[in-house]
Amino acid sequence: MDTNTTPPGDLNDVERRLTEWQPSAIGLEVDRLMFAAGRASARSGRIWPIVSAGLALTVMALGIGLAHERSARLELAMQLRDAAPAVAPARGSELGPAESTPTSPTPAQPASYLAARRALTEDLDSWPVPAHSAGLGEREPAPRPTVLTSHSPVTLIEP
Amino acid sequence: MPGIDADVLGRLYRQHAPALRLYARQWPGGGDDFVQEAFVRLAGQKTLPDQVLPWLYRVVRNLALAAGRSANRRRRREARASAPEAWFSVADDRIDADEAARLLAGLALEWREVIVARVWGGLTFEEIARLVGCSLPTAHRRYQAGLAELGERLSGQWTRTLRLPAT
Repeated sequence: MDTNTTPPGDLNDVERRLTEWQPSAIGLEVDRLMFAAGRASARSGRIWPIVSAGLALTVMALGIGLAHERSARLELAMQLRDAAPAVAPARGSELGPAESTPTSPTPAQPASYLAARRALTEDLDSWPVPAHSAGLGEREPAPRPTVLTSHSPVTLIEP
Repeated sequence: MPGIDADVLGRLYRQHAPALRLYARQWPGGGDDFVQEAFVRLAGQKTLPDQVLPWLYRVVRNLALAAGRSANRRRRREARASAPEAWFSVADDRIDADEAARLLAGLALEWREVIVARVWGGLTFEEIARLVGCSLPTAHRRYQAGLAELGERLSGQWTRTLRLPAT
């Protein structure tokens, strides 16, 4: 049974009558369709408004965060600046009487860091003189280093 | 319109929109909106579907079924049940267009949609079976049953008489 194509001769009377009935085409306008199709195609790109809105929100959040971070940083810097003079004596007091008083007897070596720091902060004239500089004229010359020559790989030439 | 040429779309619309609207009108509240929406969706396709006519009928049917589920459309269906719109512009010499529409509207929906898709839509029975979601014999049986019922109603119908010019 070929049900897909019905030759016109095989149509019964009812089918023949029905084919004479023409569906109404009143109100069907191609221009209206084209307008609607064009409007629909222009409306289809909804991804860009969403992306733009997301970027705008991100920029706003970053701006607020940066402004907050800057104000907090400035406030912290101001607190540090205000607290700096008060902190220095406190640090000195924490060191104890032995270090806070310059006249206190401290068993420091003359070439030590502590002695050098004291000399820098208090009086450069009291810079400790190293022992080897003090007796420079009486010191023996330093031995020259041995030199390795190219033709005598096993022996070192004494200068 | 990104994919389909406007000339092709216009030609398809002129050629198939009347029968497609008749098919859409088989559902309550169906009409121009569904046909236009189907063609707008066709315009949005990148390429023409392989079988564009069954594709259009399927879109219209899906739209009609979806709209029929809404309460708004149901109210409109009740309002229009007794007065079908002008489905046909021309009937035959024995019946006028309004009476033809009334006769067709009196059939069961499952018969009507097969008859409309076949007679005016030009779909094959295989395409109709896929469209309606039934087997091929079922589609053919519905078609024959609808034709038989329509034939009975047509045979017992009032026939138009020729009016003689008034003298």
